[in-house]
Amino acid sequence: MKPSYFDRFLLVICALLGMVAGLALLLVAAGFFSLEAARLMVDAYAAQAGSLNFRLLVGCVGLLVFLVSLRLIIGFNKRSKAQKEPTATAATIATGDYGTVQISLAAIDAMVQRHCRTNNKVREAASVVSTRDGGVAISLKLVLLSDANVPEVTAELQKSLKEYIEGLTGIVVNDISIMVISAPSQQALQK
Amino acid sequence: MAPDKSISADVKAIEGGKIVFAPDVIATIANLAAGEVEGVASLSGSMVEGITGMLGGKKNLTKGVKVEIAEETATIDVAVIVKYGFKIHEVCQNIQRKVKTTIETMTGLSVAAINVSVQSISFDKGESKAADAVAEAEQPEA
Repeated sequence: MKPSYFDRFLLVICALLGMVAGLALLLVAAGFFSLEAARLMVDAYAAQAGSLNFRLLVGCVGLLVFLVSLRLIIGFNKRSKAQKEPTATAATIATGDYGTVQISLAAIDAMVQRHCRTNNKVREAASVVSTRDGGVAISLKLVLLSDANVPEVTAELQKSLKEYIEGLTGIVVNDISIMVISAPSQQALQK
Repeated sequence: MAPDKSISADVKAIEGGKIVFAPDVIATIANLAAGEVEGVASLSGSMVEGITGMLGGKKNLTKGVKVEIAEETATIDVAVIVKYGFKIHEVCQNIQRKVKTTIETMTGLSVAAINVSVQSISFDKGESKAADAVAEAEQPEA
């Protein structure tokens, strides 16, 4: 589950404090700052503030750090209460006397990819297959070659892909939507 | 005592007995029958089945087959990988017919349903070039 903005803000604060603490330890290791000096500073502050006040302050800081850490652990591991609808992973080819025949959407996707690759005008293709109205719907994002005629290539691909999938699987293809990500420029077309 | 999940057939034996089949027997028969159908590359098992098969070295003869037992009938779920180029719905119908016929012939049991699930398509290297040529030939000329 995506953490909330408040959790992310706390995480940033903790990370910054962690950086400061790490830097301080580095300075101690490098010899620029000694633990003895730090202890003297703390003792001086404790003497000025009073023993009780100092202990209260330390306790409050410790409690704050503990609560922030606990909040971060819970916030980053909380599961969403809303139950998502299970997405279909297979489409039904036929239901008959012998039983049901199904095909996984991944198998159809592999066939779509194969068919798109055989088209010599298509450089790259990303596909998503989903079930719809008893059949399947295919969504394609294409990168075409620079000399491709976009309307012709896409219309031909829609027709051939529909015939290909329906012919080999027996499943009805209800929709093939295509988005061309990269197309030849108008200047190149006019030349 | 745990309930007996095997299938029994009241075969009219001369000596009056009972024949009981373990589910794995039905699954093995279904696995072998489905594997013989043209167009079937292999049966698709779970990841655990694949790992135990690799480690054990023995071929898992119930891979990709689940048998559900009712009173005197069985429902069989078969998960297959189909070879590229074959008509999937025809291959699946052939699987259903073959498995049903084989089980009923070999065991005398009644099969209620055979549900086939195509998990993926197998693209063999040797076939891919031929398949690409067929696909290109099938495409309408621009």
